[in-house]
Amino acid sequence: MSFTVAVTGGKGGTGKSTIAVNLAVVLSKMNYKTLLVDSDVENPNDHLFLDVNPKRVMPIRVFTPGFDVDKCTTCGKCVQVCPRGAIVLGVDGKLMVFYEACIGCRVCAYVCPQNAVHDMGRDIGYIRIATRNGLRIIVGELKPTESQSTLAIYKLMCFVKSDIEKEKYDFVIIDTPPGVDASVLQSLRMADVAVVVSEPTPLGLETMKLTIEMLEAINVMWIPLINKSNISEEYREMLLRLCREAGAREVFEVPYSEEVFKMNMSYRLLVESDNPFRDVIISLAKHVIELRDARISSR
Amino acid sequence: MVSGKGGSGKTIITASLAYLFDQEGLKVMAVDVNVDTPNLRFLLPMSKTIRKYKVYISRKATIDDTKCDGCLKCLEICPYGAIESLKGTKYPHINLLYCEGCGACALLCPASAISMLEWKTGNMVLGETEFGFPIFTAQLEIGGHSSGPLVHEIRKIAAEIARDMGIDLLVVDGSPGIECTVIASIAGASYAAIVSEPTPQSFRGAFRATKIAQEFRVLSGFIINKSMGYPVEEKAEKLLSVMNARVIGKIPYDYEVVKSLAVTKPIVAYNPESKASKAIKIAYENIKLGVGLK
Repeated sequence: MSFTVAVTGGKGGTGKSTIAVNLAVVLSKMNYKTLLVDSDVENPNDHLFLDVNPKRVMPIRVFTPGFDVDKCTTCGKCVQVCPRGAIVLGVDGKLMVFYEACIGCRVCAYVCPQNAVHDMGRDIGYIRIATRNGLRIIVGELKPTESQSTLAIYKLMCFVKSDIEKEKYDFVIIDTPPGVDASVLQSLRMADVAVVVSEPTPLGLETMKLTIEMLEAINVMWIPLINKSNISEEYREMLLRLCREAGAREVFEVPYSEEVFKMNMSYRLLVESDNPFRDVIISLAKHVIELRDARISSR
Repeated sequence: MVSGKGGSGKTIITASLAYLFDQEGLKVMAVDVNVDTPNLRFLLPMSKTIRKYKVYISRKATIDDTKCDGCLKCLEICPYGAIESLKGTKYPHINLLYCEGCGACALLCPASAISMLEWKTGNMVLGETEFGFPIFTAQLEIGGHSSGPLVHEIRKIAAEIARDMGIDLLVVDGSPGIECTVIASIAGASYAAIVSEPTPQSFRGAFRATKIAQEFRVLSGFIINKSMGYPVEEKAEKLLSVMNARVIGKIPYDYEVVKSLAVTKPIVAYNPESKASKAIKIAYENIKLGVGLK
C-alpha cells in the first residue's frame, strides 16, 4: 500500500524542502520503495538537494483557444463567458487572448455558435523525473511567465497517481508550495498525513494556525515540526501550546545550526552525516512508518 | 511595493515608508494586498478595528439533484477534477474545495442541473494602527484563489475609503510572484517601488516587475535589500541601467531589522539610527521626489 506524506506549511523559507528531501532519503535507505514529488511548481528545488538533474519526460499541456478568423463573426459570446476575462475584443475587431490568464476550461469553445474556436494547446510547464540510489523524484515545473500553478499541480498529481498505481511505492513524499490557497489543496489531495513545518516567529505562528485550520477542513491528519526551534523561546512555547491545543500528541523540533545551512549550500544531505538534524528525521521516519503499519493493519 | 520573490523585504519597507509619511504629517493609509499570507499588520499592529468587509467575487458550482439525470458529462469537463462520482449514488458530487468557479459544467450540463453560486472570497478589515494612521488588510479564505481580480477589488475599496477619509497617500504592500497579482498591484499606481534581494532568483522576478511597470507607464524605482556588495549586485545594476530603471535605494543587511521584527515594529520606528533605517530614508526621499511630494 502506498502511504502518502505531504510536507507543507504556510510560510516560505521554513525548511519544507529540506525536511521532505531528507525524509525521503531516510525512508529509501530503510529499504522502503519511495517516491519524492516536488509540487512547488513555481520554484522547484528538491532536485538541487539531491544533486541530480531530472529529465523532462513530458510537457504539462492545457487547452488554449485559437480563433478561426474565417468562421468568427466576433459576436463576443466567448468574451462574455470567459471566467477569467482572458478574451478581449480589440478595437480593430479582432479577438485577443491573454494566455497568462487562461485556465484552459474550454468554455469559449463550448459556447461559440460558429464553432470557430479550436485548441491551440500550450505547454505551461514540464514534468521531470530522476532517480538517485533507488529513490525516484518527480518534479513539476511551471514555465516562467505562466501563472496557472493550480492547474499545473492538478495535472502533475494525475501523472503521479498513475505512476503510483504502476510502481506500487511504499511511501510517497510530497513537497508542497507554501501558502493555504488552491494550489496547496491540489498538492494535498492524495495525502494520508501532512507534516506541517513552521518556525518560531510571529509570522510562523500565524501561518501555522491557518495551515492547521486548512488541514482540519480537508480532514488530513497532521504532524507538527518546528524548525529552527531555538531562535525564539517565546514563540517556540506559543507554537507548542498551539499544537497541543489543536490536538497534536507529538511535536518534532529541529534546532537552528550553522552546520545545516552550510551543508545545504554544499549539496550535501544532512542525513548522510552525523548531526542532531539526522536524529530528528529518523524519528520522524519511524513515526510515519508506524502510521503506515497502523493503516495496513486496520484494513 | 512589489517583488518577484517572497521574503525579499517588501513588508518591512512598506511599513517603514507608511510610518515615515505619517511622521511628516501626510495623511497616509497602509494597504496589504498580499491576500495569501497578509502580514503587514504584524509590523503596523492594529490598535482598533474600524470596519469589516466581506468580499464575494468567487463562484462555485452546485448541482440540483432533482434535475440531474446522472450522465456524468460534467466529470470529464471539469478542468480541475473537482467533480467526483461517489459510490452508492448515480449523481456527481462537486468538491467545493477544488472548484475554481469557471462555470464550464454549468454551461454544458444537458439537463441544466448545475448553477453557479456567489462565494465568499475573503474578509477585509479597516483598522487603526498604534501610530494613529489607518491600515486596510484582506485575508483570503482557505483554498481560495489569490487572483488579480481580488487584488483589484481590494484596491478599489481602498480607494473609496481613502476618498471618504481624505487620505492623501496609499502605501500598498503587494503580493510576491511574477504574475497577474503583480500586474494588478502595479496598474494605476502613481509609483512602483520594486524590491529585490541580491540573489539571481529574486532579481529575475524583480526585472519582470520593472518591465510591467514600464509597460503600464508607472514611474518605478528599484530597491536592493540585504545588500552585501556581491558581484551579482553590480551585474544587476548594469542591467537595470540598460533597462532605463533607477536604483533608488540600497539597504544593507542589518541584524537590527531582525530584532525589530521580534517586537513587531517598523525598523525606522524601532531604531531610527540603524544602518538599514538610514538607507530606507534615502529610498523614501527618492520616492517622494518621484511622486512629486517635494
